[in-house]
This record gives sequence, structure tokens and C-alpha cells, in this order.
Amino acid sequence: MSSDDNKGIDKVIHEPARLKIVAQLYVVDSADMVFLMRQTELTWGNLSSHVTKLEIAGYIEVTKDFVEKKPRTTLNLSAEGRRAFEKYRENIKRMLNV
Amino acid sequence: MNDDDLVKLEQNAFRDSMKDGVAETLAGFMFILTAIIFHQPSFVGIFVVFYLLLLPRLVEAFRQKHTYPRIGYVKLKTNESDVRLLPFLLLLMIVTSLTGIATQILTGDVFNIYNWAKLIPFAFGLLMFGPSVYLVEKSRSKIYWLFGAITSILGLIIAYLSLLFPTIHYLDGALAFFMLIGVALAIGGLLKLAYFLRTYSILDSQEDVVSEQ
Repeated sequence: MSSDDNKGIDKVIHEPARLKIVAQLYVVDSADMVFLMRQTELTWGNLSSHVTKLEIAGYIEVTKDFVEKKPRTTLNLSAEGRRAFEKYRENIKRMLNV
Repeated sequence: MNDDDLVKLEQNAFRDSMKDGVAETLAGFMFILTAIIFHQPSFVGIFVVFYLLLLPRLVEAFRQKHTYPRIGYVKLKTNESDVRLLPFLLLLMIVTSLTGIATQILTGDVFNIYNWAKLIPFAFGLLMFGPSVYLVEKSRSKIYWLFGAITSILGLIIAYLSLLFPTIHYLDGALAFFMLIGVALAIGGLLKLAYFLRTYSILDSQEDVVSEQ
């Protein structure tokens, strides 16, 4: 699902909290919610709601499993999310003439 | 979010994955086991069974119980470009050259293979600059330069002592080198692990709440 506005800026990624999450997942293979919470300094609820939006947009893949009998949510950027983030960066650079 | 920012994010993730001191502890035991193998080659079997078959599972089990609940789980990217032949060959060339120079300065006879053998600890010490460079590049922590510097100085001291006392067998120098580095790394790693467990408390997971939403 693409969320481009007229200037080609993806609104799903453009939101600062979601940009942090996507950028973080872009540089690693996968990470769980605890790791993302620490790195992005978002609260659990806030992170969870942004993750849901990114998942609905098809930008991240969510895997749920159990570790030591406790649920763990692992996230990774989907191929679509990776492409969207790269396109977002290109568009921002073009807009700012960087 | 420019390229530098992304590199910094990746380096932060790498540093976080090293916070628990497990890597240093394992490296320490690896050196100790290498020293034991130098002394008694029949221990190679134990090395294979323990380090290659059992240890990865034990480490993962430990991290699942103690590390991930504190700082989270992250799987770093593994690039094929991480194994770089050219820098490795360059390092080997530098190490060989410096060992040759040291052999000439300390013994005055660079063509005697026995003298080279006595300098084995120094050569291994210099080789440790390889992991140093890798860790500095991956983590942006300049402190990892210390590892290469300390192992080189220690290697040189041990080599010098084994030249000073001709009764010392040339392999004993290497054995002492690996044992000392191994013990130091293992102790450092265990202290780091203790600090990690003390500093980072287990985060109250809200996975159940989230899954119900």
C-alpha cells in the first residue's frame, strides 16, 4: 500500500516515531519490541500503535513466538517497506536538494 | 535521516548486542582452549564438540533468559562483504614484516627460523589488530584499538622473555600468550556480564496486553 502525497512523501513513514522505527529496522535484520522501545525511546503503547500502522501499510512483518513461556514479538522490514524507505529518503533528498 | 545517521544506528545496534559481555567471555575461553590445544593437541575433539556444536545453543539459551528480557533481541545484518580477503592479506603482510623487523632487532639473525618461532606471541598479538579494526568499524568505539595494542605489547614482552631465557621452549611462549589473553578476556567479559545484569533490569513486558488489543 502506498501512502504518497502530491510531493511523493510517504506519510506513513514521514511521521517521526514511525521514521525512527523504520530506520532502525532498515539497519538490522530483525528486532523485538523491547529492543525497539529502547532504541526509539517510545513507550510500549505508542510503539505498538505505530507498529500496527506500519504492519497495515505492509512495511513491516510481525512474528509472534514464545520464549521462556513469554510472548515475544519480532519485527523486520518487508521488501516493500525497504523500498518505501529508500524512496522516501530519495524524495526527501530531492526536495531539500541535498 | 542521511547515510551517516543510518551507519550510527547500525553501530548503536552492534554496541547494544555486545553489552552483555558474553562475546568477550567466549573469546576468552576460546583463547584458553587454544592454549590447552597448543599444550595437548588431543583436546581438538573437545573444541569441536563444545565450541562448534554445543556452545551456540547454550549462548542463545542464556541470552534468551538474561539478555533479551533486559535490552531486547536484535539480529544484526550479516554481509558477505564482512569477510574481506584483501585487508586480511594486507594485515598478514604487515604482521610478517613487523615480526621480521622485531626478529632482526631482538636477535640480529632474521634468517634463523628458530628466532621467528620465538616471536610467535608477538605475531599473534599483532594479528589481533584484525578483530580490533573490525570492532572499531562496527561499533564506533575506539576502545577496541586497545585490544590490538595490549595483545601486541604483551606478545612482544613474552617473545622477548623467551629469547632472554633460551631454556623456554618456543611453544611455551605462545601458550603463555594465549592463556594470559584468554584469562584477561574471560575475567573482563564476566565482569561486564555482572555489570550488565546489575545495571539493566528485566523490562516489564506488555506483550500480553498488546496481543489483546
